[in-house]
Amino acid sequence: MPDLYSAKLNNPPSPPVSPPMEIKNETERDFLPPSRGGSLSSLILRPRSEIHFDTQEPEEKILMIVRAHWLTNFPWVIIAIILFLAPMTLSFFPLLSSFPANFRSMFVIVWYLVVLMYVFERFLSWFFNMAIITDERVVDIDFINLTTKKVSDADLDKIQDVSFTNAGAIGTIFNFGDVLVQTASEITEFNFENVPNPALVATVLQRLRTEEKIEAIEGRVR
Amino acid sequence: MPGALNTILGVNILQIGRIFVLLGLAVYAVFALVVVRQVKLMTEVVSGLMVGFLRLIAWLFFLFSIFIFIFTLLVL
Repeated sequence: MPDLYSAKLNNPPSPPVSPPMEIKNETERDFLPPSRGGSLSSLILRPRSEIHFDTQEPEEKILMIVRAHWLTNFPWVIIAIILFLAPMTLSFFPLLSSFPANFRSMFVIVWYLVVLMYVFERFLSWFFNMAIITDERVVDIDFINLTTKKVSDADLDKIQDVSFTNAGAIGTIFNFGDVLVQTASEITEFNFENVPNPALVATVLQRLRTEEKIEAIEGRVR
Repeated sequence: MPGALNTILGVNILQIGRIFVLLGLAVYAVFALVVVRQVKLMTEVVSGLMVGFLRLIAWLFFLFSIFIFIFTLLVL
């Protein structure tokens, strides 16, 4: 016998389909140039995954690492070369001739130790003075000297203003300059000095800030 | 010159010089140890950038300073 009436099955209402979480991946950030730069580069873009910093969140991705342009090392390299060659002039100017031979040798050894320390300290100072730009924040690492370091960071959505300058003839020729980031966080100002391609760094920061604000509006904040 | 000074002051200038050189090298060795420590800390702050190489250089630097200190003790 055919059913005259059949009650509707009381199916539970299907949950509203929310739009998929659109966490931007690296390939979608078309404003960011492709991966380039090794460990000693001044500008490392989309660095390999084994590079980390100590306060990095598990989902946080490093997009850019910026150091001072390699040309800023030129003055200390020249000084180091001069200091390295200086003891050779002792054969022309026998300043230490009145000292015994072992004292003269020790003077030269100690001299080269000091030069070595100078070179190493200057290299470390350049190498570890960096800014790390991730998809969540900007981290500024200052290696002030061998006994002092400073690490500060600001969320991208706290960035209020990004400006850059290409100052001087050398800076214009080799395209390096300062990037000034003003923030609403505790550290109100980040100054990345003599970074290569400051226009690119500033643009990336501005685009990331915009991206972060859009994410905040859409409620996709991590 | 050192001979003349020895005569005037009645002290062994070279011996004093030796003490100062050793003192300087001891300070240098401590400084090299600070470098080792600081390189370790910095490579922990940012890892993956030439970590092994920098730590090796820092340790070699420290060992070299110790070697020079001992060498100076024997030579001077």
